[in-house]
Amino acid sequence: MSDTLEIDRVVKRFGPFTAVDGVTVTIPQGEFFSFLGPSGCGKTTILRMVSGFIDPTEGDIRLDGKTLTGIGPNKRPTALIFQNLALFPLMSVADNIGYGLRVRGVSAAERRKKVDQMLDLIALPGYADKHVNELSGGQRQRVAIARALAVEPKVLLLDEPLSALDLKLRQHMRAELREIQRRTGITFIYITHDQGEALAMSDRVAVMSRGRIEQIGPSTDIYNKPATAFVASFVGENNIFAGSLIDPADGFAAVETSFGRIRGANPRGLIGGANTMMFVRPERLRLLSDGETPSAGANVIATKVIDELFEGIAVTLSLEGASGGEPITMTFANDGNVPQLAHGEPVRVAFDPADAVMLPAGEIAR
Amino acid sequence: MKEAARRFGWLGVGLIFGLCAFWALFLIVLPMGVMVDQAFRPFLPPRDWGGPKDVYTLQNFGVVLLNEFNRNIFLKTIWASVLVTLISLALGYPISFILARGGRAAWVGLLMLGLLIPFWVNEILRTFAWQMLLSRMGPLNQLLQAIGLIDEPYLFLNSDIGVIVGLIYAYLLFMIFPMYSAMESLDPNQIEAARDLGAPMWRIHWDIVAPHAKPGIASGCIVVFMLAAGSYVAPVLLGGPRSLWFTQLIYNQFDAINWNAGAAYGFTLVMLCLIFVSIVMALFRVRLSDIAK
Repeated sequence: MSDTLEIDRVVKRFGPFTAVDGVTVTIPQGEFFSFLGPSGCGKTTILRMVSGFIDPTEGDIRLDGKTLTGIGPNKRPTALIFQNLALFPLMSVADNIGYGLRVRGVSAAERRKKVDQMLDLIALPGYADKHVNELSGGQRQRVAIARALAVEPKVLLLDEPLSALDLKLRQHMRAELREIQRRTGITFIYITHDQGEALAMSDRVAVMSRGRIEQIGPSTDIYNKPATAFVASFVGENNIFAGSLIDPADGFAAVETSFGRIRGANPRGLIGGANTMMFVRPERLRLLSDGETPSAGANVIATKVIDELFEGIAVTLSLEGASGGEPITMTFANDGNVPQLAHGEPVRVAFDPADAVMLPAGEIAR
Repeated sequence: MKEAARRFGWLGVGLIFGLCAFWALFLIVLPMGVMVDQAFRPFLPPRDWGGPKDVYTLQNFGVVLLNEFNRNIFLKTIWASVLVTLISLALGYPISFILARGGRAAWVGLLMLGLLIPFWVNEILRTFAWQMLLSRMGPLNQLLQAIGLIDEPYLFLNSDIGVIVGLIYAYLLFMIFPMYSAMESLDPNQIEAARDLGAPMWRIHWDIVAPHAKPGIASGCIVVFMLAAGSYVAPVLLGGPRSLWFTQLIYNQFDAINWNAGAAYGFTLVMLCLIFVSIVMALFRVRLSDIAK
């Protein structure tokens, strides 16, 4: 069986507003796929179209080659986990999990069996007769997952279900979701504005902005090889140097900044004079010690320390050029030897041009 | 208490408590007490008041319940009020749901206005309007005859139908508003979640919406039943002499200066309403505190 989900040139308009603007993506069965983007980027609209609560204005959504258009949400082989979970507060845990089976007319005995099986899956055996209000946040989360999985959907849709949890529990639930997905082999489509969640759990991520997909790829590609300025600025931290592209040669080029001329990779082959933005991850910058010679070809910039932030696992420095201007940040791991840098202290920073990527200037995520 | 005294002064606190006590004692407890007291005393000329014949007795209640004519009207009032309540529930439920879940659509506002505007008109005038609508040569009879459903004009006004229609119209809002506010507090995701899990619409109402709105449904039913059972205008104007309502019997007793029998009739009606409320609450498994919300 191959229950591939195809979202084919889907457009959704609400009056004059275009929420989803020509999205095409094919999600094979068993993939953990995330739509990542800021609020209002159209990801929730896509989710609601796949689950059947709204229909696309244009385009088609197919499962295993058959269109889903016109099939109501109660008839689709998809199940949705709501942001607020929407557990039924007047029902017990077992009644919640078994609800989808009850409305399908499954007998009480069979229902009970499935509920117990689900409770085992979410590691809450013996909770069947508890009231939903007696559960902790993480337990409610799991019950919502079990309720959706009990109807054996082909596609499970998750609408930021972890956003209400505290950090520790959220990280734990990420691993648990991933584990449940592996064990069940069901396609998971995860909607989030939290890049950490998307990158950590997904096989592939689609980054969205203004109703369009900016980039689709594995987490590592999204982070290391951003395709657009939006992706580079939305996913992770990035230092941005905007300007006119100069001196393109051999897949590299340069841009003039308040730190001097900096070279970087030019994967899109932008031509001289192009309006460009160069992105350098803070963790790719390296502090040079006194008298240290950088490797050949490296960008070396002279900066002054504005601020030093100790974050435990890492240290973050804010640096500005000799002539002022927009500060940059650099991050390095705490190796047990944290340099104490005074405000205004001059430091030299180096990075490899291959670690800086030049993209056409575009919208920046704030 | 200290906090209240700091804000209003002890004089203010005394005034608030005094007024509350006055209201509760003189406007509720005392009149009810007098009514109950009168209900258990025989009807006597003033010179026998306080005399040897003025003793507590159940004879007034005997007249209410043992007299066949009275008993029939009493039972009719009950079943007709139950019917009014059930029909109001059946009509009010979908209207409440549409009002609560219709979102900000313009016609939802219009529907709300349409429900409210008639209530700016006096109840007696509205009931007279129904008298005209339901009359022998009225528009309803003409319509039914025009479409061929009936050959002869139907005498709505001389039967209980007129009263029931009038009561439903008069009290539908009291059914809708508590249900509306209960349904409005339902998280819309609950409905979508049930739908997503495969429930058809009727199932969603049975499993999710109605249980959530239960306190509102119960309080709507209680209010409509009590108002219907205690109504006077609609039975008088729409019922005619062949369709008496229990309130008319109470009125007749007071009109005939037999305050004792009137009080006994009234007391019986109050008891009936209390019993009904208790039954409904037990049936719906709701507590008084739920309804107060």
